[in-house]
Amino acid sequence: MSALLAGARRLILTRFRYSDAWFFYLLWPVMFPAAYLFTAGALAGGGQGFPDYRAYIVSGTLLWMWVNLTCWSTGGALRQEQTGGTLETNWASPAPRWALLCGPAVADIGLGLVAMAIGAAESTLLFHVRWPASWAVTAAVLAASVPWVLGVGLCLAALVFWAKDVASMVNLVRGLFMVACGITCPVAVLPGWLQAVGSALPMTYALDAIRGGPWGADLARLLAFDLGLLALGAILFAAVERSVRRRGAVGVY
Amino acid sequence: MHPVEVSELTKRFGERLAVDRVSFHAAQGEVFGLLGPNGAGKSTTVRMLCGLLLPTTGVASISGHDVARHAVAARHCLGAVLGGERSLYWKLTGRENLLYFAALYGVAAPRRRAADVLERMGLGDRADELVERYSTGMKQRLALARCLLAEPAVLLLDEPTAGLDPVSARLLRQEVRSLAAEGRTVLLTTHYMEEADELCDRVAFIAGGRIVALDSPAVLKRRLGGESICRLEVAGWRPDLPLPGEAVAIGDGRWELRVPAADPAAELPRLVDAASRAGATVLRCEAVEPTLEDVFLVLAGQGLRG
Repeated sequence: MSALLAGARRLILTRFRYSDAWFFYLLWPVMFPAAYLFTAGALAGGGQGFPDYRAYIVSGTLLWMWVNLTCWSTGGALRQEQTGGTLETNWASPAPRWALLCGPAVADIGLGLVAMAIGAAESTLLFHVRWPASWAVTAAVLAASVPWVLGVGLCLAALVFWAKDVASMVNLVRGLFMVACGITCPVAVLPGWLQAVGSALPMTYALDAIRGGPWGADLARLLAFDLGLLALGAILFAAVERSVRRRGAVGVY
Repeated sequence: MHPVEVSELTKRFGERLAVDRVSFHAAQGEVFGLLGPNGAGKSTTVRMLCGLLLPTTGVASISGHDVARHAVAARHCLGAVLGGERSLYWKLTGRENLLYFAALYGVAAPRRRAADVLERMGLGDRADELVERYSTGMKQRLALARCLLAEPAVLLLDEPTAGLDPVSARLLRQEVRSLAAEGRTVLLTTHYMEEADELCDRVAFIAGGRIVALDSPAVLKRRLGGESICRLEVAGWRPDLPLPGEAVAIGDGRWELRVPAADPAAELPRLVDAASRAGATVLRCEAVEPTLEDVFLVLAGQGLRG
């Protein structure tokens, strides 16, 4: 019994040595049920009357799956290098930092697109879902989403470099996308403040374009997010990297 | 211009001075050792040379490139073995590891170069096995192969033989010698004084962040207070016995006591008498030539006290 309690105590001590653990225990309990709560509200009649609820859910969840896979890829790979012990060796090479960071993300973007295509095909076969956008619009939305996804990835990678274990912060970002972007329910059924959060997130416009919204305007907004988030990610990471090299914490995890 | 030049290099972490105005150089084809106790500042110096840590003040250059201001050019000239076997991808094969790093260093004809260094390190026949199946010695040799990929002028080896069995360690030391013979500069950190004695043309002892001695092992040994070491093998030693020097357990209840002495013929009887009166049993006594470890123990002690 003492060994069991010692193990539990060790885990609690270790987990709360990383300050972001508080985010997980304070915010995730409300974020997790929120998406289902709003979906139920939409099903009860509060929605915007999207004609095909199956296409709505499948398009939302598949795009979410792709974003989810790729936006954490950069930070996740960096974290793996930290804990595995290969980060210093990579960082001692002359390769550009952006190439070291974005290489794994490029692979995940491709793999994620394949998974998304498989998901769409299987949904059509099994659930008779009609994908709500043309392939041209879908391709344009995905192409316009790659840069902002990389930008979010760079911001999360900067957090990893700075604070090491940032799983809770990542869950916070994931939770915000999940609840506020209209993945499983229309943004219109969200409370006003959450609609405001959704309007500041690029995935809201990606989903809107795929679901038959004004794709020209949505793509323009996505391009603006691309520029802003890529620049933010690059600047943030460069600043954090310099600070980490000053502190001698490149290989620390 | 020397391949490695370090001038007044200083690193401060808040109030703590980790490296204090360290200066040295290493010539082409030289094996230069950085020695010192844990926390002395060796790793901090090494990480500044690799560009993983920014100096507070001072300059370090690799093949003439300032590691802080022209980091990319400096990294092209430097191959580093840091972190030993953990610095490899265990779920890739030896060859896949090298091809990945060859891409990071922009190596021309990477497949041929990877095959060449794998052969050189004796890993040609195991090149397509996952690294997780390699022994510790093979992983260390693969790490050395990786740092040779871009044919750098300077090699930085951070404890390359740590954890190796004697045969693997000897193979690696032979390789280090032949690399230096090819004209590469090797900067080596190690805790094994015999290894430093055998390999290094010159060594710098670091203690408390400062270089407390820098010269060839032979000169450093001659400079030690006495010309010889009085070596006593005793049983029944206790830390509170009034004897000079530190005793080291050598197994079967026996301890080794090493004391520098200018006149060992006069000092040995005094030591034997003192040990006997203190209740220890002297099993063996002799005058021996000092080793680099004797220099290390004396200098590290002085540095830490300072």
